[in-house]
Amino acid sequence: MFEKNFCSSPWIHARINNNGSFEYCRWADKSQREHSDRIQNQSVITWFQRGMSPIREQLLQGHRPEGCKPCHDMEAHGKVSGRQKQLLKVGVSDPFDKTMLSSPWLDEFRQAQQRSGDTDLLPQDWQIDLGNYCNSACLFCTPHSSSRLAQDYLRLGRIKQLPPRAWCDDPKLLNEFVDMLSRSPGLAYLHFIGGETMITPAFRRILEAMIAVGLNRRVTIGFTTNLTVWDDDITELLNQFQGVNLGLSVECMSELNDYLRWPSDWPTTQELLERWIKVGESRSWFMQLRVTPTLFSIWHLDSVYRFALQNGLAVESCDFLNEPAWMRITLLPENLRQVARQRLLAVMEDVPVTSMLINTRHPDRYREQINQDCASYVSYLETAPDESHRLPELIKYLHDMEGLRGNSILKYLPEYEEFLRTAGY
Amino acid sequence: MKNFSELLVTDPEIKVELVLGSIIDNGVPHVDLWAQGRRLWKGDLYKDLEFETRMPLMQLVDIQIGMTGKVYSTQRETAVIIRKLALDGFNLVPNHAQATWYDTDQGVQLANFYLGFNGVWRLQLPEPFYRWRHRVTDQGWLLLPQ
Repeated sequence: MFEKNFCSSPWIHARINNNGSFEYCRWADKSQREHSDRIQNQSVITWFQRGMSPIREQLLQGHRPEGCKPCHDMEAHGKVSGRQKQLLKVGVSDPFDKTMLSSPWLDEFRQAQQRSGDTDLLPQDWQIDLGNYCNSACLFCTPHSSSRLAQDYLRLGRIKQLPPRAWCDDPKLLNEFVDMLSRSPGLAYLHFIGGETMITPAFRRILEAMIAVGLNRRVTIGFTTNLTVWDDDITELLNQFQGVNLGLSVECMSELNDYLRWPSDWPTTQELLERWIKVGESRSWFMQLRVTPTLFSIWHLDSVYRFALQNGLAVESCDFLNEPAWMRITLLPENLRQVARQRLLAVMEDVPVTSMLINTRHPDRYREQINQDCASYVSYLETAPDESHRLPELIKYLHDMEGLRGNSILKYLPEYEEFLRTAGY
Repeated sequence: MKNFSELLVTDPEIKVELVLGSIIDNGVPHVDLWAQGRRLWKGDLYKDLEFETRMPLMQLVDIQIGMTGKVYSTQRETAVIIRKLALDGFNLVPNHAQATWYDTDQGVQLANFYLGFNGVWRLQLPEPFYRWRHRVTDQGWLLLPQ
């Protein structure tokens, strides 16, 4: 059905991955990543205007591209999806038919239909992957997104070689990309991801380059930091931008966070969290706690929501965790799922909700956003299919990683002992 | 609908609902009601009346209520009250008076839903309704093609 499948994202947004490959959406399934065109061998503009045409055509025909599954999974559990957010940015919400016909983008959709999906537009919203340079090795991350974890994987024989260098390490490519940005008339939002963006040299270079050409006056920057580093220079650069959407990564408000976001330490995390909140409030930045709920952190996810409520912050996760598969919530047995659900339901009781909130970045509606996000995990815990067949992979992974780190999940989650021991831990 | 082409052949309209009430302590107000350049009703408003009409989706909303016949008194009141003005169920009363203005015989321009002077009250949206609704309900960015 057209209403359920259509998405405006390919007219307004694009992504560039660590290896320089282009992707049609920040939320898209990663499985096609290695096969797409790259900045090393194709113009960004040509790729967006022509290379993405098949996706636009599919959507206009009412089909659901394969890579769009993550968003549809989110919607199935009441989680606001990327699709819904991108539709809202072009004025499409409820009722779908009337808001589509009223959208300022209707003619662009019509023209793309007449031209087999081609467009003359340039993205106004970019997801920019800056490589995997990172001082953290979060347990639920991947070598693609963490250089430190990549080293661990290499040492354990889980990968044969380290991921290639990021596209943005090449000054020529970086200059080409910034030049393209400076020629994008409607450019509105750049979201950066690493690695840890604060210590990735390309982040600073891009911010400086954009300030040099005056793009900072109309562009909002989004990024997430792992709460292990601070850089006054970067915060001052950010202060020159039209807006900042700041993501603060934390999995739970306890030392379990150290185990999961290794090798962070809880006192430092708390200190930096407070520091960022203070800076963000003084500069009217939009702030969110960014979580990546796993089968471990789901136990204390309620602590994050409660902290957010106390501090007037939103909580967001990109999607339901897909990789690494053995860290998914769906490995939990029913008895543990039920307890986790109850904890989240207790949060929801404190926060009433009136209607579906799509604009999850409205600073005054963080309470509704929290309720909604919480509810999506309640639904997921209740109905997402069991994947306990992956437990052997999890146990092997824990054995490998804990062997390197000298820690144990049971120190932080004794409640999981029976579950894990039964699985072979 | 199955695809974009099927959407394009639909021709949905916006439902406009209006409920007018009156205060008649000092005489009955005379009302001249227009919507989208067409007169909907003209007469003496003795009691609450409900009106409904439809308009094209992309036409700019333009509703006009003229009130005459009020004799000013500090003791007793005559007025017209807009109890409801809904566009596809979205009621502008009471939170969206910012889209209205009211030229009165007292030389005062007011933005509200209470017509306490002889004059012409008008609602004119500056853009198609659903784009306007996006902005006034804080739905975040509304990007424009460039």
